[in-house]
Amino acid sequence: MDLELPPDASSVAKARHAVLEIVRGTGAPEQEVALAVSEAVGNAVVHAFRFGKTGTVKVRARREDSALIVTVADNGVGMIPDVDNPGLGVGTSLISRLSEEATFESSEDGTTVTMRFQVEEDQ
Amino acid sequence: MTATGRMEVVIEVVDVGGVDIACVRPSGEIDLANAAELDAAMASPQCAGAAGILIDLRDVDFMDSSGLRVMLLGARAGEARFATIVKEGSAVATLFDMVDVHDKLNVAASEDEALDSLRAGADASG
Repeated sequence: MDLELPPDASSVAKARHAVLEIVRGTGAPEQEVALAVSEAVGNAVVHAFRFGKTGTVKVRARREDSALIVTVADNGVGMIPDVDNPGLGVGTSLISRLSEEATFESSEDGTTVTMRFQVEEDQ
Repeated sequence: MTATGRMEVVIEVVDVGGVDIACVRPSGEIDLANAAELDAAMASPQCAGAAGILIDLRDVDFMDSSGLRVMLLGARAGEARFATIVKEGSAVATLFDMVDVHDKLNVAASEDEALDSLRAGADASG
């Protein structure tokens, strides 16, 4: 599954539902995946496109052996402090705790969050 | 979880032992796109005029930190006037567990318990 979304709030639900479509039946934890994807896309929408920078949020989900790999990538400003932060500041912490493994890559070309979730072996 | 990511909110004011309690009952999904609607409901004239506010999240299929932020700000503003109920095992309950906000949001086990708590808080504050 590959999606390219505009950085607006409606993209959060679109990404979440698109990922859930492929999660169903895999045995991956739906609630955890939904929340992690929502936090990752929400972070991109709120924080990535500042200082006049525009771009998109790309969401990819794929099955790899016994894991579901979800990637949320933006081409925004990278993970830099946001003094006008309108969030709770728990997004990255939640993503790390909800997923089996999460990595955050940031540069001046944007941020990529990669989340790994366990799926059932026989699904 | 609904297919649309939409939320609806119903607000009703109930009389609990002579005390007006505003019950805010959102349903659907709450995220960045609509958390402000929950905030607006909690700031509605019905809530402003009530002695307590009950946020009933039992019909909310999904909530992320955007909705939680609104809840925490509302609870901080309302203090003892604020109570919450969630459905056990739901996505909202999972979020509340992970962020450990049960005390801050005065989460009750049932609607009756929440209403009694709010009435007691109103009675205590005179």
